[in-house]
Amino acid sequence: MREAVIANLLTAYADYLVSTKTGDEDHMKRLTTHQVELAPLLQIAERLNRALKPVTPASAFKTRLRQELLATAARRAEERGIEKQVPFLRRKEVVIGVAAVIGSVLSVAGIVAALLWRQRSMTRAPHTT
Amino acid sequence: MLADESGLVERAKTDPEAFGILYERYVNKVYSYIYYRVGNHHDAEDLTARTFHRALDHIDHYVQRGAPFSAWLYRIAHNLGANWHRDHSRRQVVSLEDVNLSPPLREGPQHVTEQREEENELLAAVRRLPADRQQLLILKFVEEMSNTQIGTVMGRSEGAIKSLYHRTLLSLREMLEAVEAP
Repeated sequence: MREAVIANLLTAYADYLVSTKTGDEDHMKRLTTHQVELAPLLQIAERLNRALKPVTPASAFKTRLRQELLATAARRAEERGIEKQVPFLRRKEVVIGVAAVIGSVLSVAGIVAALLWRQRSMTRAPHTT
Repeated sequence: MLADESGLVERAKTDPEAFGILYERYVNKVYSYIYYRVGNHHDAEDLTARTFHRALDHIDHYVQRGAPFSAWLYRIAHNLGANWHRDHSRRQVVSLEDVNLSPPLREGPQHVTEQREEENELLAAVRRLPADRQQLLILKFVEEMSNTQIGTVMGRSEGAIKSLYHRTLLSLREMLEAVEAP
């Protein structure tokens, strides 16, 4: 229970430091009036707040990385577009294949029909002469 | 903001420009976070680049569950940082020469030097902490996140974050006392 109270006080103080970015001695005194043993921890929090500042990357690095990422993203988008087209192309190939088969069957059937017609004509011819 | 961001993240799955906007929004934060994990600009740049490339590789599978997109990025950065520490644990690379800790020169140069030494000492102690404690301090003081936000990134409750913060300060106090003792 006591530990939870201390943890609450410490995080509240850290939030206070972060929100103002400056240490407030009055606030610290108020805390330490009741929690003398917290003083060293609060001082460490203040030191952390001073030492841990945001660091900015070099602008050349940021620009280069942005270009790399956008190029990669664009290439992937393009690849995805090609992948989407593939089923259509496959469908077209299937249609061509089926048409070729039908065409071949019709050709063979035509040849067979012609042969049959010719044979029938030849068998009918001797009777007429 | 979150609604706006969730739309942007969805667009970023297919639209490079949307990913570019997310990049601009978070690159400084991710870089700062990684910088304090590794301690030098060279590796911070390398790991920042890897974080965003990995995000781009996996954004198709990213599912929004109420947590901000940044929580996902921080998790990627944290994992890469952990791998980096594992790979470099034998070499013990702790470079502080590039750390810009200089406060404004309002007071005498000697005071500034002392303050800088103190801060370097503190940062060295921070880097000796376990990864989760380092993460907590960076998210709290550099990224200025609330306990709830930190909990979301680290996958812990707010109470657990407060308790971890308390234990982290106690550890730091011990480490600094050991260093400062004659």
